Amino acid sequence: MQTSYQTQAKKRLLTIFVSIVIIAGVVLYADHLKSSGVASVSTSAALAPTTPALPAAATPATTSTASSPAVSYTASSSYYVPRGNESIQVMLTISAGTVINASIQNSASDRTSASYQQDFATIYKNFVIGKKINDLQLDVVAGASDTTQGFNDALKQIANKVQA
Amino acid sequence: MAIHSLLFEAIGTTWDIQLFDTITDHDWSQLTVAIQKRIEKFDQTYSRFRADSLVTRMSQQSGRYSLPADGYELLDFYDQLFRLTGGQVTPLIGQALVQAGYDASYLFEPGPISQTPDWDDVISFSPTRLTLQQPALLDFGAAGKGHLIDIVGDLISQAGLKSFLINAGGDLLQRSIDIKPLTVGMENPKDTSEVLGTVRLMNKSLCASAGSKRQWAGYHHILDPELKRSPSDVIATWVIADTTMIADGLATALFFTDASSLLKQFVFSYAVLTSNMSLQFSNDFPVTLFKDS
Repeated sequence: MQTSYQTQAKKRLLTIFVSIVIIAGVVLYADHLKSSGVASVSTSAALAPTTPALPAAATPATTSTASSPAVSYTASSSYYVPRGNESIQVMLTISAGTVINASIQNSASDRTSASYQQDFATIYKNFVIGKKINDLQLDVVAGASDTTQGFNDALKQIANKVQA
Repeated sequence: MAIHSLLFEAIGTTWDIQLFDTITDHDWSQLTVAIQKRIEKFDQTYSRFRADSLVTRMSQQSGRYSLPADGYELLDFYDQLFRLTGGQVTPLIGQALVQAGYDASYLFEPGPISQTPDWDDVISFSPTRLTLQQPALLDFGAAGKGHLIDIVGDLISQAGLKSFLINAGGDLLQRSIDIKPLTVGMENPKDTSEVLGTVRLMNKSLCASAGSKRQWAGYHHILDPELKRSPSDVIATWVIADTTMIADGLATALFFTDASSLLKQFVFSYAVLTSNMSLQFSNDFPVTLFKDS
């Protein structure tokens, strides 16, 4: 019971996401056809009690220069869970027909739903690059715990032993 | 700007406590004494690095021990971590860590590692007592420091102070009554002169874990009790939670297990860095990353 609910919940979230991607694609295509800056597309939102509603509209948020037009789309949708309605908002940034960024704002009010939405959100992975600490305005840095002098000395001694 | 600050070394790391509220010099000096006494008491209970600690006595003799008032919360959390990670996070890892070379004298000379005993075969506890079926060297490295930061934070709050920062070796508890978030850099474990992004911390705790600074002979401070080696796929984790103990413990747990199983029991946001420099993070983790361009 629990498992099938979990599977269903995940399927619903995936459906919402795929719908938004499709809509964003349509918007982008329409955009391309019209060769105009910004377009907005409305879809008919079919509401069913247990299936997620299709996003009512994908709203372009920003446009940039002609050479590499990156457009952000925001869409939200709600779906029904046993304890009531939950909603999820997805923002996509699309450039040259490719999704270059995606983020999810979940507003699930019950903890189980929040956990499923978060679980779903973690499929996004970024390959990160570093920036020199000196170039940034930071209050503190968090990483491996700083060690004490004694610890560092001990490690140095071992390094010396290995080299000797 | 901090009005008062306190810098010292304790429990194997450096502490930096900054106060943004006004307090008389007299009250501040009293508070700093109270803080250091409390840390000393904690160390005398939980440190496996000192001969006179409760934990060292437990490693020599089985039986029933009275727990200090803060002990139940810590043990109960470890019990939950043990079950959520299928036994991979366990205080019974102490003996294996010593055998791997992370011992009281910082020898760092690894030897053969024995099997870590099962929690249910060794430990039972109540709010006031801990019973050991056999002598066992307990290691509270995963969440002990976080727990202590919370205790110190309570001391500062009880003194009527509302805006402060506790930074114990990069594990943070921040309180701000005038909503001033803290900008925290996420240290690159492969090059500690770099950060990978910045996190905004606001009235919560942030703990990070990485093997980069406590590393010797292929091991670091986290050890897998089954595989008897340090995890290497995950190279750093960051967790934000309401308490520092939870953030600290989950930062270790994420070296072993997916966030999804931990999210069933705890409320937190997180980021996990794997060895190929891919960062996976929850959508509510308040991070700004640096991108090429």
